[in-house]
Amino acid sequence: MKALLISPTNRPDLAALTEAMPLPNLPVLGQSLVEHWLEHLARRGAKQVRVLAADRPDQVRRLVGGGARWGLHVDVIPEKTELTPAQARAKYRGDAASGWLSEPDDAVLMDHLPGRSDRNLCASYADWFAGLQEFMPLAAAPHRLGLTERAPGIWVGRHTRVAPSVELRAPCWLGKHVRVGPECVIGPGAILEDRVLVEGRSRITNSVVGPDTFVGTLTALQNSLAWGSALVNWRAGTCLSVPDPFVMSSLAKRSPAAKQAGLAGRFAAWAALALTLPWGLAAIMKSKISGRPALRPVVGVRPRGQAGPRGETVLTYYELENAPGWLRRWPQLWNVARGEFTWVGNRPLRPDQAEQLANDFERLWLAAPVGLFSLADTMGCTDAFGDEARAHASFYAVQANRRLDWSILRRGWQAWSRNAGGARDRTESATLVSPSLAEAEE
Amino acid sequence: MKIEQQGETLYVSEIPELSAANAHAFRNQVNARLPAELKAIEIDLGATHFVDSCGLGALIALHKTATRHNGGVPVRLLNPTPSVQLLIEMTQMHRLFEIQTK
Repeated sequence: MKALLISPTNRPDLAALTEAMPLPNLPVLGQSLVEHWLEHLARRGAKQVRVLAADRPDQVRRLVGGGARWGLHVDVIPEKTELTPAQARAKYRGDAASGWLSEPDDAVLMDHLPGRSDRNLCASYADWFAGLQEFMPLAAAPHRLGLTERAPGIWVGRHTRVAPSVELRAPCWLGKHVRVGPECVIGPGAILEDRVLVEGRSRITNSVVGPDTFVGTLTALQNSLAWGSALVNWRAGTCLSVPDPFVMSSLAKRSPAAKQAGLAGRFAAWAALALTLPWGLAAIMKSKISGRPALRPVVGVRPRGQAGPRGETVLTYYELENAPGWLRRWPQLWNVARGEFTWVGNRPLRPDQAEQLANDFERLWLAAPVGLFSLADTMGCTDAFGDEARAHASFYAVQANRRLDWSILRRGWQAWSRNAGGARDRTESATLVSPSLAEAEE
Repeated sequence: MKIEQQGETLYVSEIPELSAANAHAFRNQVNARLPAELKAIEIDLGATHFVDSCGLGALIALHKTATRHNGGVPVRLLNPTPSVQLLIEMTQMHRLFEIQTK
């Protein structure tokens, strides 16, 4: 029997939650939304399920695999836009009467939990929270291995350690591998997803703490969705980023956009500044003598997920006004030394340029860290913001790895040293990018 | 690379790679063969085992040309290999192109 699952796309009301992953992948009481649905459809007798995903289908596919876990054959199909159930039926079921689950299970939009079509999870943060609270007893089904009900309305997952002095107040849910320090109060209305770490003397009520989230000592969370360093007040619908990692932070692997120059990279930038000081000073002196400003400030947009220490979304960097070729970027070694830039990344965009990024493909430019050298530089793009440059930036954002970075850095530094201004060499550029795709294939 | 007109569809196939080595040639050759009465462009990626950033740029440029041509013409990418499909999805290009597999 066949069925279709439609992945919701573009739900700005849940933007803080879907920043890092598509909506079907969001954890709901220990399992993702799509996993709950696949489990439900398998119990209904489905054997083949197509998941129609317009948003990040690769991540959905990585999560569900082939569906063997549920005894299903699951295909994740990329779609240009989100289909309605009627559109999905018309496209994939056609006039076929048999071989499909009966309506409405034959084509389901995953904006609610199984058996709860009356509760739209995606309308607001408050609806998301309410939906999870209502689903708690249903999620604690007998087949959930390792989940125990320690007391009525208090569920605790496997390998979870709770200090003896912790007060658990129903209803509350603690996932797998959770750690709760001494003298905490958890609940009522608290959901701690898998691998959450709560330090001592904290209080969590009417809140959901996302997986791999650290909550520091003496922290009180109320009416909140805490997801890494993102804190949402689900009552007010407001969101902020918690700057202090000792209060709240993510314990998960950092996204590529969050990559910053490591200590070694920053020391190398200091060394490069010192080595190239004569040329930089010469360019500055030349400007001073001719009565022109030496440094030109430029405002650039910070990459996604890398707000400044006070939450600012832009940064200021400088160019040498009258320097030839790549020497113009000499002051940006200072940004690398400070950790604002990396050696290799995407070149910074002005705010007006960032506004011109027309679609999700082009907006990937901002998903990579800001770099001194970029892939577009080494490919000889003459138009720093043209279609080719945007393609190189988007490619780099998803394919960045150490090998590619070293290739770009080597070529960029060579060109800078020659002050060549980025002459194009097609043969070498094919070799430059092929290792990264080969590694992706591996 | 083979380019043929099948009715009102321009069909491009036998592309071993889309890279810096041939991206410009791909773009120029396809643009040169766009008929006025075109209704769709289909790029068969079944034989394409390597796409780099230049190849992505060529596909995007083709998409922009198709958008301006004849009131907007859909571009379909057919039968991408798994690694190419992964690249297409990771770069969100499936939002711009229809992806069709066998």
